Amino acid sequence: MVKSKGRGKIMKKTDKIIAAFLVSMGVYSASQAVQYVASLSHGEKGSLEMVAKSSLNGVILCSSTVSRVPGSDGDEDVKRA
Amino acid sequence: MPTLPPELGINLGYKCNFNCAHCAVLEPRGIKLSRIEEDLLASTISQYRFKSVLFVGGEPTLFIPSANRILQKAGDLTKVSVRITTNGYFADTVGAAVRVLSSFVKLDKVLLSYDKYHAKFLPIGHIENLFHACRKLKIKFIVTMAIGSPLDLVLLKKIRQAGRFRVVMQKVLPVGRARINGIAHKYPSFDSGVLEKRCENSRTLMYFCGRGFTTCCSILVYDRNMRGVMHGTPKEHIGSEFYRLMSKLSFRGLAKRLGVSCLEFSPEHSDRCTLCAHLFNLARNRREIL
Repeated sequence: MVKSKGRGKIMKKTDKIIAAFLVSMGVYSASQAVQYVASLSHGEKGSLEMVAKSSLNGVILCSSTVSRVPGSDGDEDVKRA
Repeated sequence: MPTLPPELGINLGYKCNFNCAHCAVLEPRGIKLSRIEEDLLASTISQYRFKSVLFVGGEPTLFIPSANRILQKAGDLTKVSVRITTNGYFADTVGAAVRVLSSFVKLDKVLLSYDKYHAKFLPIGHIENLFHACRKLKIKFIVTMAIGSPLDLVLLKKIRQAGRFRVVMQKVLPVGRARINGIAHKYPSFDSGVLEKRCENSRTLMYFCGRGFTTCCSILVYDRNMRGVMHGTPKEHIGSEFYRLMSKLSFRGLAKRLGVSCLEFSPEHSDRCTLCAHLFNLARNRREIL
């Protein structure tokens, strides 16, 4: 059990794993991730923790754009999804 | 004169055989490229040195003759990577997928859209079929996955079982059907870091059938009241104030330039496209349109 930086709240290890995962995937900023994780149910946390712990090699950061519009694919000098 | 972006994205038409809840497109599905537009795009490709051409729709494989006419008239494509973003409906078998993909006169990369919305229309087995068809044809294969919530990431595990390929994630924007259905990606609070970022699409020049060339790939394009965003030729577009703003300025700089600084932002403005549309809408409302 560790305090999350700057907020003084206790974060469980599971919460930290999920928050770090969401930040690394580009889904949320660090503060947004902490807020989001706090809103999750136990079951939802379990689902996301499983994804976070599974091998995700080759998964590229989030982009803002919906899938029917153009986007990069992670190679060359392209910019996003 | 600024240089053109390295990628040309071509919207071939709006026809699609899926009806996804998150689709950005609300345009009439009968709209497609005219022969005059095809010629314009072919000459654009031959005139400018794009590194890649991306065909989107609608579903681009429903417009293969149109795509081929453009590619055939575009001249030497040896240094151009041709890509499509598809829903993969045709990949009932590996052989069926090979037949469709090999009917393009040139194709180097396939981006398959698959997520919980596409899953309602596309059996998971099609991913594997398309992946193997691409391997057979030596075409690169990538899955693009739209998420409306981080919980949608759970689907990643299922997708990864279809093979070893890249998965690119995208957040669902509040545009088109996603806006109507209220399923855009949600943010718990506003992230001010977005103000220091720039448009993600500034390295792609888009052409929307019946509309013209633009840097925006979504929200501003589908807002029919937004002026100064679309242009008839690539030259007009890269010479436009809109292109200069989008290619050079951060969103903080854009807000300042549009005279809409000192703003309060909502959580959804953490997304670049939503923030961008917000800034242009405010500017329009203040009669400070480009």
